[in-house]
Amino acid sequence: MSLEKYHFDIAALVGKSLAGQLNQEEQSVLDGWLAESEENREWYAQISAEPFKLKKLEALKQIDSKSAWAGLKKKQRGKKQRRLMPVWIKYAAAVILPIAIVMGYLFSDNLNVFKRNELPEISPGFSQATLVLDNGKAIRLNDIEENALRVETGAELKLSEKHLAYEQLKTEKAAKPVYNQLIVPRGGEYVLTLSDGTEVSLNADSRLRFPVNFEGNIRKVELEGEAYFKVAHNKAKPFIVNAGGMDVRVLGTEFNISAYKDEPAVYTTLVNGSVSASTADGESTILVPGEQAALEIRSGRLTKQTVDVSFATAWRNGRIRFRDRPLDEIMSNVERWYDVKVIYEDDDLRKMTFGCNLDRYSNIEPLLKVFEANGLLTMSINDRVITVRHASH
Amino acid sequence: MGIQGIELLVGRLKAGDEIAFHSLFDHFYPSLCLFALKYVEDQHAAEDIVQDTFIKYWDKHIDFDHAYKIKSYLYLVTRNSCLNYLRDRKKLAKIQEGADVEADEKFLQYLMEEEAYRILYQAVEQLPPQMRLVIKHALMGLKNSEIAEKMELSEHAVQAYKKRAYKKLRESLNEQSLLVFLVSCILFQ
Repeated sequence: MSLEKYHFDIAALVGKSLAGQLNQEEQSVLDGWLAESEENREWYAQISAEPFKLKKLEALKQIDSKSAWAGLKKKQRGKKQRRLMPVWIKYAAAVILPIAIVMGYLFSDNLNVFKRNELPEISPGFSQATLVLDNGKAIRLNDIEENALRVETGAELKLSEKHLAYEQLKTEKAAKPVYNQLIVPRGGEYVLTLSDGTEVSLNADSRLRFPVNFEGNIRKVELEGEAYFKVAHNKAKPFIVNAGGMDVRVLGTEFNISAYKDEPAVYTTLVNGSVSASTADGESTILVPGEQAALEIRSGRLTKQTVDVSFATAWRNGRIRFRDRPLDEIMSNVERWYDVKVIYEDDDLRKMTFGCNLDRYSNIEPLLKVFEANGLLTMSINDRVITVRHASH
Repeated sequence: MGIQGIELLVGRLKAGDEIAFHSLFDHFYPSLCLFALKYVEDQHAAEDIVQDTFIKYWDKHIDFDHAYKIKSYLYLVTRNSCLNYLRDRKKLAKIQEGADVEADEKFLQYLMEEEAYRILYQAVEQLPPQMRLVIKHALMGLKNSEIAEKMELSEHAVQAYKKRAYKKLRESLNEQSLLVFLVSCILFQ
């Protein structure tokens, strides 16, 4: 059956019927057409379903006729100009253009011009941190020698590329405790050993404030961001982490705390031993290994649940690992580690769920590919900004 | 111009009236894009193809004496360009040869779907904003009470809007319905 005026007329009736505006005669004409074949009836049922209507009207609205008209006018102008171009100009251009390109190439001081079209690469974070001393002086640890740092801090310590380790002071001097602060920027990570032997691995965009030497009968540090603690056992001196309104009290154990200011909750996940988590309101709970305490910032509510701890600690094992999590939650980790910003075309995209298990130390591309693989979204990179859009259909 | 008003434009289009051309474009462009997307699945390519279709049409606007011939031309050229595009990109698996109108079973269904929705969409878009919203909700099958709640209106107001909106909708849809009806009567005798 080929295209006839009749098809447009039936379509017009269908359009009217979609608006519920058919009069009796028109209705009977449409009914007649529907009675003709099962195919007609199936088609009509499909396109008149309400979800279909909604989708269709939305899709039509999305198309920007205004800028398309401008585009058409531009094309028309281009076409006219091409027609007006005398033939000899074409030949001249054929000769001059290659020469111009070669000249441009020879005279450009940057021979990388041909590389410009490569995809921008975003490399992962690496070991970097800044130490802030009691007097406010900030020292970038990547730029200083071990001895110089000893002089600056007045502390016994060892410094390597990824690790700063304080040692217990030999002389027993009390006075008032001296506090240092370790700051790990976005796109960074670092390992710190405190003077009691407690090892703290800090994730990107995190800071830990700690005394150079632990005086008194408790060991207390303050955390903002994410860190994995291996607390040196000392029954006489409990170790307390204050993290975004949650106090985590331990004797000796391993656990992960995530306390980012831009996240809705503070999480403590226990790997080994036992900890108690408490809030300023006096709520508290005791965790056994495999349990996670969550303090919801807005409500101040403290809850506890059993989790697979390997997800909370995956970052320390060099993995980016999630199962069935909303995209924005995954991406806020990615933003900190790769030091990028993610923007979303709309909020539906934020709530799409994904899983992944990837090498934390590789470039960002494989990760973005995982998200794009479902065919529903695309990610583009421009100057450390990742834009997430719906895939076009 | 009314929904089906291109009947009234044919003379001006034939005479090369740019404003009439722009109207024609506004009315058909979104639907033709969705139609093209059934074939090429790439928004940018689809829009490009449809713009080219209009340019081709305008190059030979003098040849068209009837509205349905203009519409047929727009859909056919768009479809053929889509098939060419796919062929060029070696994406065409099933339709290799003899991809003429008769062979493309889905073509008529695609076209009728877009035409039906073009008519509905244009009619709805012509309504004033409040009425348009009421009608859109009503088309989705919402009850008056639900629309009232959604729009923060009284049920009475919704009813009043609906009445006026349907009247306007009927008017614009009817601009050509007499014509449709006559033709259909002849066909179905």
